[in-house]
Amino acid sequence: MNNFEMDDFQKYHVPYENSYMRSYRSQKEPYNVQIKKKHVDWRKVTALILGTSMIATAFASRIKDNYDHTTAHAYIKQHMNTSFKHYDPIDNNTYYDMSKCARDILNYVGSKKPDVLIYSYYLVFDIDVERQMDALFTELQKQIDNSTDNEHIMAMKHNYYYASFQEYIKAKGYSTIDEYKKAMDQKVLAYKEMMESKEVAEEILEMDDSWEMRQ
Amino acid sequence: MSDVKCITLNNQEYLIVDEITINNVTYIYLVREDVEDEFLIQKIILEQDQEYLTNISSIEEYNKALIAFKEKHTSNA
Repeated sequence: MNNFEMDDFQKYHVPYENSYMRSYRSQKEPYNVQIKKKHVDWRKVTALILGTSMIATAFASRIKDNYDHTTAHAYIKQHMNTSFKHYDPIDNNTYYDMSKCARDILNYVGSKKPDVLIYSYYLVFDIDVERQMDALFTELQKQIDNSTDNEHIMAMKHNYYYASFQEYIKAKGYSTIDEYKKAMDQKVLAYKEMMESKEVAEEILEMDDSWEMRQ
Repeated sequence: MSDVKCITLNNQEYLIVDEITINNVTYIYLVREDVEDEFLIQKIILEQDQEYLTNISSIEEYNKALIAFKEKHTSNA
């Protein structure tokens, strides 16, 4: 576990989430085993499940004594990077994945650890693009409702979405997404220093309860 | 080529990688033969003498089953 690096998160994060959703959503079916002759690379197959189990361990570690601080933070940073990396101005869902990831972090990783929590809050509250996006999409939807031209709709969607995100970054005083991300990392470091105070940590934990009540 | 246990689930064929019982619940680990990174975990339940596969009910249960797999296979390595 201690040797599990950022690269491993990148490699196994998507299989982990996809596998969970498949495991969660599947329907009940009769368990009818068949025997077939096949050539299977069992090492490769087992490695896939073992790799993803490392991420499960990172999630589960929050409730154990041997909580792995470094791994949890690596996971969160990766989650953030993935959200930006997969940002696609044409696909509405990619943006909403970003806010979803913050909620996931809060639920699965950070709920008992103040320093991780603050990271989650930072994602949820500082990245308040969602609210701005909602307003823009409401306006966009009005235009789409009045249009029958699909190409035009996609063009409008692209322009609004991309432009609004760029505007958000600029409004925050940054010229690029990378610059924005670096600034966020610095802020998180500052938060971490603040969190060394036990009193503040307890306050944040109280905030966690109130946040959950609002959901 | 060797004998391999398979099942059909959601109209897709899966290889059975392992079965692990945790607290009297048996989990089965399934991998798609032809898809590089697709696998899932299901539970085996018994109803009227017929075995069924059913879904994992939470992320915590899913993590627990994954960790059991890791503990089993890394301790044997």
